[in-house]
Amino acid sequence: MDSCLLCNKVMIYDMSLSFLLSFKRLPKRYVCAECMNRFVRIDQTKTCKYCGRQMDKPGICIDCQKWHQLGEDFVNQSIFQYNDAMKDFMHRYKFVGDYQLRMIFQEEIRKVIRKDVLIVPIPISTETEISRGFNQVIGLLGDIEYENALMVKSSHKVRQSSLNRKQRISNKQIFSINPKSISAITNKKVLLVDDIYTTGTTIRHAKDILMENGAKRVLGLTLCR
Amino acid sequence: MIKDVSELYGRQINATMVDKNLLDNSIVHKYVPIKVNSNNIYCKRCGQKTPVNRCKLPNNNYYCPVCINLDRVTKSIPLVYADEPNDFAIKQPVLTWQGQLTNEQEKCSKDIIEVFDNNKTHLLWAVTGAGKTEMLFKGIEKALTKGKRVCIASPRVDVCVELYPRIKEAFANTSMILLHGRNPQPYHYAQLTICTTHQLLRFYRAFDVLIIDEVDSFPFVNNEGLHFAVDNATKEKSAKLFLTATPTNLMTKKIKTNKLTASYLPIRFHRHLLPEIKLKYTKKWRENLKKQKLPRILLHKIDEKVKRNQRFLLFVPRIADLKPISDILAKQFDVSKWETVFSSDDKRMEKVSDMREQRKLFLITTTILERGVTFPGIDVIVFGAEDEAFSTSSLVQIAGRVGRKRDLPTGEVLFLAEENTLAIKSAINQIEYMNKKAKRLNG
Repeated sequence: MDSCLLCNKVMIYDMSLSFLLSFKRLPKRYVCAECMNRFVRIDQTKTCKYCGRQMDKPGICIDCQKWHQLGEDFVNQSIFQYNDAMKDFMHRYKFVGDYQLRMIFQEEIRKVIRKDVLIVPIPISTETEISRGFNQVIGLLGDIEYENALMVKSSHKVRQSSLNRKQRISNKQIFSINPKSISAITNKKVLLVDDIYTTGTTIRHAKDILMENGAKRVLGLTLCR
Repeated sequence: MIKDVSELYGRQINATMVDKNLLDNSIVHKYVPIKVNSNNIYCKRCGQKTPVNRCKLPNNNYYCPVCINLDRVTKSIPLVYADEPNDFAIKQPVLTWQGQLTNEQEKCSKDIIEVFDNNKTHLLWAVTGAGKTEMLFKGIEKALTKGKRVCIASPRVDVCVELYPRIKEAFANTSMILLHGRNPQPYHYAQLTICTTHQLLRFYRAFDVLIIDEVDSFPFVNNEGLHFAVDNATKEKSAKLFLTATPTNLMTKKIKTNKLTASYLPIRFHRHLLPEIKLKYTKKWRENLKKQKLPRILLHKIDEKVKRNQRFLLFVPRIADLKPISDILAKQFDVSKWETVFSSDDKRMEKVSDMREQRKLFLITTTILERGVTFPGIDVIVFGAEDEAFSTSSLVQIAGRVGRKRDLPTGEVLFLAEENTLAIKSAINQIEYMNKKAKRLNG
């Protein structure tokens, strides 16, 4: 019997007669229905056309209007809203370091990734990678192929989550390019993947450096916004 | 960052949390907490095994997902500890409680002193509202006077929070610490620890006396990791006392086969009987709830209590039931009169204290408030009592919230259920059985 990775309760599967007669395989689940319901999907018909956040109607959000004035348009898609349940998930997955939780959203990520793009995960600093033991974005990717094209500049030791919005936006370039990846990104359509889009600064830094090094186009995908 | 060695006495802490200079101190010991076998890993902190595919990190490291709530332990970072020296200054009087025990309480209190003196393992089985805490005082007093390190642990954070001020008052001259996952004090070395059972995972051979309140409750019951933690947190020679009002079948079996000794107290401290359960049927309530309707009897009862200003708790089976029920009540009653409460509710503590300080007339709650909390003079209603969320012990505990004070010893316990279940029947029977015994004591 499987138990829910989030609340530990034993999961009850739908064993109705119609299901049994359909001869479908039981879908692999990591989280019980009650916990899953606490996550709120972004309704993709009503989003900001740039950052992908949930809106009342399709349009451009205030933050992205500001970015637009700076000439920094960036198109991102996110799957879930960053609500309390997601906050809690991120805390347990990233900061407590419960690596097995990566499995909960792997399928969600896999479903939205198109085949014609080069996947580049946002990297984390070496210090974080050593203490955490894993890059949370690569964890979410599961067995999807990706290019480790970016590196965090070693002088950059401050965690983004310890900075406020203003500090983050004014932060200068935090990434450098992996020299081995230049040929792989040249003239490619790149999909940057991150766990969360907060102000959009991180992902824009990543986009800038990829464009400088020959990428044709750079889009974003984050688990939540 | 831990700099003072006393913070390591009897504890096991991730080496990354401990100051470098301290790690070189010869009285600080280290061990690797994860043992890797061919198909699984074994965690020495919680004693549990995990299949390798669930706990392998990409850098050839391993972590224990079972006890991860209390910080992650990995193979690459040792746990460090220092032997417990029992380095306590004992200031008289140790016991600053002035109260009196009833004859029945006195008898159990003597049993407890004997258990602590002789490092035994023992169960105290006492009805809800028997005054279990007070019965502990003499035993704890003697243990503290001898310089023993004492811990009172409960699976429930609410119980710990409620217990702490009472224990603090009773042992005003003893150093004391309250530890739990929500809003924790910074740790300091203390002779008396009040904590959730999860916190025991951070202790290693620390306690001479460990008391576990509400042993039959979630998450302690059936949690092997926490049972392992009890053995790990106590010294090899130590006393363990388990407290319960509703023992599990396993415990009663152990008592019957003489594997566990027990003291029994069937009467409340004020000598009034336990309030008995009234059961009424509410057919198809779940279907009606979807249509935004509540049974007339429930609305009628709430109306009656609101008019009389009678405070109460309304228990419901699921977190998802809280909002729809609250929304329906909002159409008919003043919404400032209640709150809804559940386990992972961020405002749970505030809401409970709003109820305690009479800023709210009632709470709609899941089983999270079934035990440990005392609101004087309340009634209880259990709505959907047939749901499997309510076990026999839950139902007995819920009924036990009523009539706990000497000046308010009675009240109403109403169960509303789709049908009668085994759990409801045995809850009714348990209460009747204990009342029968209590009547005999009362002569």
